[in-house]
Amino acid sequence: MASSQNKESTRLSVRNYATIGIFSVLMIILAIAVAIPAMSVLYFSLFISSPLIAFLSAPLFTFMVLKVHKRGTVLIYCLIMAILYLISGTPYLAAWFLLSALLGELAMTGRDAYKKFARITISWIICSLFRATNGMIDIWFFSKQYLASGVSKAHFNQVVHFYYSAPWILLILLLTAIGASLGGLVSTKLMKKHFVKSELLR
Amino acid sequence: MRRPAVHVDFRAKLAVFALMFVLSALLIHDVSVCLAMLFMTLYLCAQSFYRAGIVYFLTGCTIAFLRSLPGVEGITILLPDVLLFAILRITLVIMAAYAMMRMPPGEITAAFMKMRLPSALALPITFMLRFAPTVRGEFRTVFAALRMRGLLSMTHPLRTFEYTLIPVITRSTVLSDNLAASAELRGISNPGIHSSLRLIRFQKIDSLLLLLAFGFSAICLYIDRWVMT
Amino acid sequence: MIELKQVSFSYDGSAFPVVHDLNLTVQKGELVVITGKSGCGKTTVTRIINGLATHFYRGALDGQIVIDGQNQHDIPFWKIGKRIGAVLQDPSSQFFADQAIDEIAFGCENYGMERHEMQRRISRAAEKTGSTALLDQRLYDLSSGQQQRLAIASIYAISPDIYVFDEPSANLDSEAVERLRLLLGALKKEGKTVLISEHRLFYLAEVADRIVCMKNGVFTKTFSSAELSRLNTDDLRWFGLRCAALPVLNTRAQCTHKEEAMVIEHLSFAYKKTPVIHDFSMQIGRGEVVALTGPNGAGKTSLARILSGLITEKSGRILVEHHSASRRLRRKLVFFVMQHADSQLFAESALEEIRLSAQAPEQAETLLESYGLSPFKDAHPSTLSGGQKQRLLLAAAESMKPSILILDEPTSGLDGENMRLLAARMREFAARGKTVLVITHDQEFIALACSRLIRLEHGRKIFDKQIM
Repeated sequence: MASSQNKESTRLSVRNYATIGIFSVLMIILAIAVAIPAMSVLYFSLFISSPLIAFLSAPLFTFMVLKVHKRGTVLIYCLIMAILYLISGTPYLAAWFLLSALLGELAMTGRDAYKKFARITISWIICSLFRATNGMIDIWFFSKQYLASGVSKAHFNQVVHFYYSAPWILLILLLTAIGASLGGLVSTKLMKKHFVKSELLR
Repeated sequence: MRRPAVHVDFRAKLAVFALMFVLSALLIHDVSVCLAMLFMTLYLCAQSFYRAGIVYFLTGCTIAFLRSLPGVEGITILLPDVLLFAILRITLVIMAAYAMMRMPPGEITAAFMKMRLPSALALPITFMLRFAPTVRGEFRTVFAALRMRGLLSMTHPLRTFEYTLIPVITRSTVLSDNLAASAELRGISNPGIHSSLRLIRFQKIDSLLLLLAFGFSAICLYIDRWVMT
Repeated sequence: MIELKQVSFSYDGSAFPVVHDLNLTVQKGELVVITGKSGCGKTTVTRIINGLATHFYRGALDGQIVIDGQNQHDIPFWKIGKRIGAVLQDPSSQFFADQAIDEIAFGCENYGMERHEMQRRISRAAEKTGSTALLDQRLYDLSSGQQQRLAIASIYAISPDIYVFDEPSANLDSEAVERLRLLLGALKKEGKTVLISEHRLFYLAEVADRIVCMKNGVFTKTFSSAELSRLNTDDLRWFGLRCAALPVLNTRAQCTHKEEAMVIEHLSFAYKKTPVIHDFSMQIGRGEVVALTGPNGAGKTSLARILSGLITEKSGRILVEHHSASRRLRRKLVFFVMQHADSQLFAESALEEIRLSAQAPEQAETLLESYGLSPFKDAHPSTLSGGQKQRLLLAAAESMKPSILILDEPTSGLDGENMRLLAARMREFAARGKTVLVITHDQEFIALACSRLIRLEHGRKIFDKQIM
């Protein structure tokens, strides 16, 4: 009598790709659902949307990573984001997200990191921080042209100083990191309460 | 679904997209950006994306107009001038991207294959394209159920958040497994060559389009650098 | 030919097998039905044969599966689809493309078929399944029956010798079931081997060669279709089966004399300028269980959403218990149990699920018991079976003490036992003076539970009859 026990391979399967794809869609849609109403407060949306998205999407990210629990999940998720930025008109952000893909995946090296809540949260904080800097990268990318278009250097400096000075940037990043960590905390609770119990996750 | 009047090959679309990105990074004056946008409007209309073409063009013109108002170096504290400057240029690139994003999923998959995109990226994106249109319905059902049970309350946002997320995650997992299973049972992980029902061909019209795009970009750049200054 | 030799299987992480010691031989050209209660393991049998059990769900398998003389273990997973075509339960969750023609092409593309050959096969598959007219339509816009025909066409185009179906009739209306029956007959005529896991047997009585009953993971009895039709109702009940022949509904013209629970007057509704419901009027009395039938897109679900206060009508008037009922009030008095129980369960245990919204949380345990769910009170709702989820949802609905209950296709995927339980529950609910409106095309359920039958087509009432 033949007996076979199929050990899960370490390579990502079609089923894993489906999970990554579908949860990426959920995260993107959640982000859009937060970002659009947040835009009504214009400049201040920078302070609201990134931390809020980092908090609200955390359970989806945590679930996706735990469900797949194989190396490369974070990498592929970030690469998908990069492609999304590429085709939505900001290819320079795609390059920036490549970096986040590498760092986010790097945070998940080591044995069983894909099963540890703390490591997943760290990886999520990294991904969120990269997203939070979008607006600043936009300005940085166009700043040379902007100066060339005839605005006075003094005015430009004033604008840059006011909106993108170190304290402001640090504040945004700090808020985002707090949002992401709180999100990680809440997702840990949710995962344990529901999905570990329901055996959707093991 | 409307059929595009002119069918443009995805490689031509990609080239136009790259060209517009380069333009967006080079053009200094708003007038020349708007000129490039006019070209993109024609490009979109030729593919029968009339509404999108016109809406984007008008948005661009409005931003350019706002920026040209006298004495305004940053309209308000809330909407800095440099942001408008960036948004105007990003809109130009979005117009080029629009033609790519509106390709039917079957064609996108075929294009991925032609570009030899690794399956680690092509597969998740294929699943995303399939799932995205159904997300709204999934959330709608959950919200309706919450409302029926009287659990949709603004006073307990965290609880509402939990109750929304749990069924969405459960359903998404079931759907993703079903989709993956049905794909596996129809040979999606065949390591050999996959073929495509949709023909992907670079036609004369695509060459013509590219020629026009290059010519127009050159004109925009010329006006921007030598006429405007 | 399919051969199972001493097959046992347990899912990943589970210690005890779902099915064990299965022995079965299905000859080429045979059509075999595996039947039994929910959770008996019949779906697992289909998964074992098409390779999902070991390759996808990564469970542990003992024994041998032989496909046309070759050990299934030696066939790479991606190649199995060339030999065994599988149609999964819910047609809407297994299509991949946006357009029907791309969906039929999907398998052919993956197996690298030449374009010319592919086109030939697509038109043949479409013709065979009666979906030629659907080729350039969007799959999202099609009915379950049409989606399923395309799912079959997509497999037919690959042309495997073996077809495996998992509860193919679960989401279909009677007309679509009839088409499915003809299609199964045609596949058999072509010499295809067909294996179907199903608990609705009426449409299979003529085409099936053998019916294998399953209980708690083992095959218990085999019938020929002639033997099946001789079984009486009690035997069927014992196996938890659906009836072997559809009951005939005796109806007569509607005469209303009951106390009115809900009155609908000249209701109209449109979705983005597309009219959905036209000038719809009806009265429902207390204690009635009304069946609402009609083809896909007739406006049944929209009507239910309006009545339960989820959306607002365009014009017309709705009275609940003689009072003009606003959307807000309707939401309080009417409870709508939608399709997909998964989307409507929120808590971490069955007991908590009822406590969440109960008017009297202390009665939660009693309520749970009356639905036969006491043993599962600490279980997470998502671990329950389809029938149990449905019952939990109904218990949660009942805990809110609505006066009118609306259900959307509650019997899809329910076995005979669960369906009869649900029917009894509905009659009991009505006996307490409440009102039930059920959107369904399950004739057996209508015969058991309903007292009135209303048909809706293109948003208009076609008939309204009393069931005797």
